[in-house]
Amino acid sequence: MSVGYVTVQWTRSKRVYDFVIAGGVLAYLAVFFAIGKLTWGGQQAISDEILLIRALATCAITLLHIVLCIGPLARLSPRFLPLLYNRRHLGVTTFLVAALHGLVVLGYYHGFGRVNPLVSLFTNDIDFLVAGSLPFQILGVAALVILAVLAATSHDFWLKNLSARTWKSIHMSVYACYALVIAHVAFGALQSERSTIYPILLAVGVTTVTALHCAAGLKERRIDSRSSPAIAWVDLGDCREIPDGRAKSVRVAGQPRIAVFRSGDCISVVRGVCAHQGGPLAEGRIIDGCITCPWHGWQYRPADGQSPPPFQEKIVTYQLHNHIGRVMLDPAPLPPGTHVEPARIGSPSDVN
Amino acid sequence: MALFILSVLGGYLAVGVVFGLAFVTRGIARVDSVAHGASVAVRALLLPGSVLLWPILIRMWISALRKSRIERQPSL
Ligand code: FES
Repeated sequence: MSVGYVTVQWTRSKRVYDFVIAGGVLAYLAVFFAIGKLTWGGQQAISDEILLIRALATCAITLLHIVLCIGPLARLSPRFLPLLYNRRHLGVTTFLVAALHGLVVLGYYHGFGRVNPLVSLFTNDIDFLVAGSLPFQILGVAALVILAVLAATSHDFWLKNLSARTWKSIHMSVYACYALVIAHVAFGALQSERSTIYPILLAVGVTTVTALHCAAGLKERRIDSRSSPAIAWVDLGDCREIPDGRAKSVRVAGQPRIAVFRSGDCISVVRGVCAHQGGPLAEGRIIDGCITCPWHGWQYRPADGQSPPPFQEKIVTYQLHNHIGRVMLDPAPLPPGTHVEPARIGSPSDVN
Repeated sequence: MALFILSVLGGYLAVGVVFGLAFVTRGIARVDSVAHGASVAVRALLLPGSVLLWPILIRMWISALRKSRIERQPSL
């Protein structure tokens, strides 16, 4: 939480995650290189530079697919949530691998002439345009620029100061980047490729990303359609079924997700969206008396939605009352940080 | 045409580098008090974003300066 910025809020799981990413990338490049040497030998031998270009390109595109699949997978099943916690590092790695691919291409295909390599790249592609085909290298450069902006703005400083909304809109451009990458591959590498394996792999990737997003969207629509209309008081159901220190998620039409937390006999209700990066608070736990976000561990007091001092973040709370032993919720959000006396489970009369 | 596009991009980045260096050394603490006393590593990490987003950050910095000037003015 924002008492001071650090480069990375390291935790043990983050170290493991980063170790797996770095190890995975290096192993992939080594295996691709080794297989490439075996496959393209003899008459069909290709230079080490071209092999490296291909290895980096396929690695970057695989990472991009993983990045895009993590979001919907986590929405479909909480088992994938740990993958989401450190997705930013995966995104930055994707950019670094893609940038390396771009640099090797620039050096190998454009670096040996008398013209500036960047000028050569752009003029080459404009010649392509005249010839009636798509300027696939410029598409790749555009995708790389988007990845650069996403990587450069991944720190919490940007999230806070650009506002969550602007930050999110900037980061949604990853889908434009994906479209550009697919076009870059389709109009570039696939044009000269005789093997069918690359188009098949690309089609499998695009289908997987699309199908997962559709499935996650359908699941959320189903949940939304079951939500109660935003009228008067909403019955929160039997809150005794919520395990102690845990929460359940409730939908009220026209409202973002609401998290109903139980701490002993007390029920508190807050907006289920973390002030940090919109993490799902209802999937978090109460640790040391505070609601703890499952993504990066930001904490909020259940009764007033405020982060414990010295932190200053606040989330929306909701008015509650007991009605014949049932906990009822007023769906009108209170200003972030408003104290609301918790409702007690089983208490027979009105509390608030 | 290619030369023109590259010159525009180069100009944008050159201004971004100059602005970015000023922003990460002085501006970030003005815009966000939490960034006051941030380490050199954090400032270095924020440099690429500052270079790329300088038109937005100039506006943020100016409005932070204006706000602090208004706050410092004695109320009558
Ligand atoms: S989203 Fe990062 S702590 Fe909640």
